[in-house]
Amino acid sequence: MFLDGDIEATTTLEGIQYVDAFNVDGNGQETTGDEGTQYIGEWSFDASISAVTDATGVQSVGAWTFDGEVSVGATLIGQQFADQINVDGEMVDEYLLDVVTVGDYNFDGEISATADLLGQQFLDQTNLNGEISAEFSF
Amino acid sequence: MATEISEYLADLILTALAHDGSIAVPTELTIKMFETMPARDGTGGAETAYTSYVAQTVACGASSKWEAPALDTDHVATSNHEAINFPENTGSAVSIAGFGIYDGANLLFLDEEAFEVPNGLAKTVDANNLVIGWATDSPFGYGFQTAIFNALFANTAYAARSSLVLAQCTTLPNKADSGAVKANFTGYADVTLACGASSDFDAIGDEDSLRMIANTNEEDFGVKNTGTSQTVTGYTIRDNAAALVAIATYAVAKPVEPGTKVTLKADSLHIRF
Repeated sequence: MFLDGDIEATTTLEGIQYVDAFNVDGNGQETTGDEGTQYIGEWSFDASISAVTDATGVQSVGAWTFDGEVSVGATLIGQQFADQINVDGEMVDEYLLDVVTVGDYNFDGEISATADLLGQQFLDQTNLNGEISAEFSF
Repeated sequence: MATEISEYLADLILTALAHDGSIAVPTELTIKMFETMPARDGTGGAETAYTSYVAQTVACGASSKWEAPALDTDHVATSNHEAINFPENTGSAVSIAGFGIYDGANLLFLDEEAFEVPNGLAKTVDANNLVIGWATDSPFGYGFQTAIFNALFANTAYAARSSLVLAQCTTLPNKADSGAVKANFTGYADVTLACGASSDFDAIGDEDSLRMIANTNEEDFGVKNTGTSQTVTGYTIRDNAAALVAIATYAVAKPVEPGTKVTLKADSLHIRF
């Protein structure tokens, strides 16, 4: 999910259902959903304050606060994580891939961090090597 | 942290190379999370049992959900084609020590990778982020690396080899098997080691905490050089279909002087995983 000045993104929010054509800009937004009534409506982001409401009792997104020129991108599986994220300052383009760590992140000021994922560690650490040696006489 | 292949997989590869075995294509591989890692032989360890945890599977075979094993710069690798989603932990937080990748009950790979799964959170491995590859300094050729991975992750079994052929080279090939120049001094001949049921290799053993096969008998690369001196830089190991298996480079190039020959000593060719 990207919330940015001019960024448009499509996000899958597991548990909140699909939010299509999620489009947030400096002054307004448009949110549509295609499943049920549980999608997030009336998101609003502006330069100073944004508020998130949820019409259906999903509730968990309501604590998000965005100030300044914040941009955050996150993959959220389960909306319960959202209320643990507090973003202030000028951090941009965070991309949280690993939901395990989302809940523990607190972003203030210019701090940025990218969640750990299995990813490259496997590549770097893989030890499928094998060894060959032989003793010859000449 | 480290990733290792299991003794089971090491034995599988060594058996296919030197004895009478093959590597069948698994139906699927199972990814398990461990709070205490098992040993290379699969014993010990404690798989996590956090509330709602279920080990995840990734299909192999004709409908494999692994990327086709392919050369990635300097080694052959594959990765998960789709995200692997472990269920949300609906109970107490757990500390994970790493992953085990299984073919049925048989452990193939171990990956120590510590992280937490707190209450209310899940664990997702995004597509292409579980990368399994050969070490970049592996002495095994890309064709062999691919063949083994095709058996483990794709849909082509690896058949037992009937022999392995050792060839001294004045110029060794690269891992893509290009550029080899075999020794051709007068009297030179390759050494062929029988595999399969009547193998010229000893039974699989242990050496330096690895699984190992070794040649049983002393073997001569032909007869004494009756021509001029020729310098060899290493040797190749090919299978009975002449496919490059591995390349071994001498630390120092060695001249084969007239009146001498090259002899492979018994119990000296060690192939280990």
